[in-house]
Amino acid sequence: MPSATKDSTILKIAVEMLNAPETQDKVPLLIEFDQSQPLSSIIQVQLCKPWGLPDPENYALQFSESNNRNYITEKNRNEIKNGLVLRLELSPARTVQEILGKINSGTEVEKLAALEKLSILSSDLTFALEFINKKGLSLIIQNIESGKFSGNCLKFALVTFVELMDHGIISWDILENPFISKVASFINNLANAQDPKVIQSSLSILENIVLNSSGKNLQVENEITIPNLVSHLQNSYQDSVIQQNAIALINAIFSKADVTKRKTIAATLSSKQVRNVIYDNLIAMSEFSRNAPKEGVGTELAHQLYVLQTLTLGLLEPRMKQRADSQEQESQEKIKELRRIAFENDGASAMEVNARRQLSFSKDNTKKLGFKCEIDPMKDFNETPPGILALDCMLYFSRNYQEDYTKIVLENSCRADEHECPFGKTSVELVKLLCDILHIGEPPSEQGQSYHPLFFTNDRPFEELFCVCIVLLNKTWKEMRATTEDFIKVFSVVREQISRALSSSPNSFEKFRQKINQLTYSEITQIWQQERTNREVWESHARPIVELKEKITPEIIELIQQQRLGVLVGGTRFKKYSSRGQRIKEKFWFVRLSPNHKVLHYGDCDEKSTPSIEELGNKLPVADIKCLIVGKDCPHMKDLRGRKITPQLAFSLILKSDSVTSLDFMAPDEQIYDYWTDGINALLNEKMVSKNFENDLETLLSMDIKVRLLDAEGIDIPKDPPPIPDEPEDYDFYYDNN
Amino acid sequence: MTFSKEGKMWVPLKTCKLAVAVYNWKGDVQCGLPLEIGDSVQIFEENGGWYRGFCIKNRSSWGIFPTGVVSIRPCSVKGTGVNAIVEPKDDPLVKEIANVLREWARLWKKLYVERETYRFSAVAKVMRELLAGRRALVAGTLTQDQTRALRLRLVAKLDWGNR
Repeated sequence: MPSATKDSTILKIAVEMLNAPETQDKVPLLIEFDQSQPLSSIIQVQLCKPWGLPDPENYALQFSESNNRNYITEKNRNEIKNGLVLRLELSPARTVQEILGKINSGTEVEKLAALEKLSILSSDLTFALEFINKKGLSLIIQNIESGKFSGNCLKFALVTFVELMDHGIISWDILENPFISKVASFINNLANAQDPKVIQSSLSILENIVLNSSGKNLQVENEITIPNLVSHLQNSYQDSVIQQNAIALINAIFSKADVTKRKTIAATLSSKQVRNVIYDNLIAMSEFSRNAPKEGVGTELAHQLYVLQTLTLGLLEPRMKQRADSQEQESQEKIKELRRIAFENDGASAMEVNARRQLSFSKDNTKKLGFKCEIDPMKDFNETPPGILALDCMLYFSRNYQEDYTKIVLENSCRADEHECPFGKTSVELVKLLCDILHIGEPPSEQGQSYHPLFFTNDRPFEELFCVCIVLLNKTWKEMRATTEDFIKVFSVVREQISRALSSSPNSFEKFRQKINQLTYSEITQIWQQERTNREVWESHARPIVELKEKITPEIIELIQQQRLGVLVGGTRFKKYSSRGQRIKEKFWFVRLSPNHKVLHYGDCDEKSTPSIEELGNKLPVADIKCLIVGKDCPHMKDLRGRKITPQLAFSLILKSDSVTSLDFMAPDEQIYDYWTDGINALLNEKMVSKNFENDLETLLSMDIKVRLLDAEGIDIPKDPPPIPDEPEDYDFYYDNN
Repeated sequence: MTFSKEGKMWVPLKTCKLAVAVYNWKGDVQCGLPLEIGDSVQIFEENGGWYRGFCIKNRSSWGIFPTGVVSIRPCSVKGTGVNAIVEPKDDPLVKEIANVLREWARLWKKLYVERETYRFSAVAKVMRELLAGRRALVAGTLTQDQTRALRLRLVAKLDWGNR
């Protein structure tokens, strides 16, 4: 290989030329592309010369990837990779000149071809700059405005316009009203079928004008009606880009409109008819496409639905930020109505109520509504958020769910214990919580995609949500057997319930109600418990904990050894077996380790006795043990021949001496087997390996860790090691000790 | 993460702080104080990304450690300067259980070595209950009624063990 390939500035590439001026294509060339050479000289020397092309300044290189057909300039040439195939094309300047000529004075066919080419090239910034500099954009605008383009020409012209503006180099303020009207007419003209691309582009153009121009949004608002845009949501093409762009335009107009106009738009949007269009054509469809992610439109549409939801909910912001005024008649009336509905709804007892009213109607019943401030309930709505919005919600609940409302109020006002759930106080807090969960008053974020389908199924979704949640809150309060002291804890559970129920994306309030009713207090505690357990499991594998475990394991093993040797010193009675593994009836022997761990004493014994060391006749110095053998490798297990004995409990000490070769044991149970083999291994300085050893290690270790971490309870262990700063520059400590 | 270069001097904290190590640190710098996760430390002075103080379990040995290795806990301080003593602002029962568990953990290991099998497992069971109960108290997710009931149960367990 030539040494040139080692040089990173030299790339091996191919160049082809498809639109050669001569009749036949030029043969593709393989060239060594030197990144340190100017492009113009590469084109001149390495391409135009071999191909015999005059005027090299008329040519430029282009990428030929499916997703990148940009011209290559000194700025983007570093994107060229080894092995790429590039194209030699007419330079941007020449191409612009050619296209402009065709648009101005070509035949219809030539004009169409030029516009199609233009619509593709316009996404290339290099080309776009050249085209705009040669007044191409103005020409396109004029021709669209004057109606000179129609059919496919119009389509390509609009696409070109969108692409050119997309580079963000030209201000949207250059557009005049006639142009806006013309584009709007493409959208409003529902009678004549338009090419979907025309509608897509027109919607996108108007959205950009609304969002990015100064003051032109009014012109768009005047030209376009919301119902017209809504009808595009149910377009006959089922074109998702049109739907997306239409809703984006609605959002744009909505967000730029003044308060009055906004309310009108919101009223239109929340009308049942429009809601259904949105729900059926966008949400039901996108729910469907969620199962078929190939659709790929999900995210942008979800974002637009999120924006729409945020803007609609944003209309509640003024109420949320408005404090109650004690003198204000309207709110006073609302509180009176709350009282009336709660205590006067029962016609049969009207007489009784009347009688009671005369006694201490106002004071007593207001108290029963459970406000913080019993004398002047208006003060309860002084905090913002939720301000007067809370009162609106309470009234909505009392009017529309009278039965639930009276039940809650009466039930709690009749309780004599500290377990009552004050309706007023909890309602205010709940509305505040809902505002927080739904981020009311915050502008839509750029990335937001979480919209709640059920919010498009009702014209008062927020109030409906409150109605479901206030009933839930009372249910949870009872399940928790809460007292007023537990206010905050109940709300932390309720927040969890609401957030979880919403995140399951229920598509109706009924489904939401079902879901949230399943999430009982005990369900939530279980979820929390599970999360704690998961965290514990994670922590037990966290690096610092694992390190600590490794560090203290030797201490724990030492404890286990002591325990095992204790067992051996205490001694064990074993049943006697013959050297061939035959049980010798009624015969036992006893083995124990001397307290200094140096000698094993053993001898025969009866079924009950526990002989002392002195009573055991035989001695085996530990130093004489060669090794430990277990299971069926033991000498006495060699020849089992189908006898019932299980060799798992057998172990043998193989001795160094020649006279006695081994001491053979058969443990009565697994624990003794484990203890003895561990003990022998400890004596021989071998590793303990039994199942009991593993269990004991785990038990002792985990308790030890837990006790060591007592002070860190509730504190998160970092996932990554904390950064270690550079060492301090000096050690002149303030406190002069140590 | 970058550390401010301004704090080039060792500056005393206005009041001492209590912290717990959330990571292990070998202490491999000059005057370094090695820490194990879970160790409580009392902090007296700071310098950029470093603290200086001692481990509660060995008050005589002062040293320095990176601020990121510990997490500050709420505490009350008695006394001033080098004589200051910090006390965690834990619920008294939470504190009591921690003390008892540390004491029991020692005795419990002795029971193990002495092969007091029955008492060993009985104590382990109660220790785990105390650990779980203490965790619930610290997490603070229980209602007042539940908290009261739990406290009674835990105090009974403590009494059982101290007998």
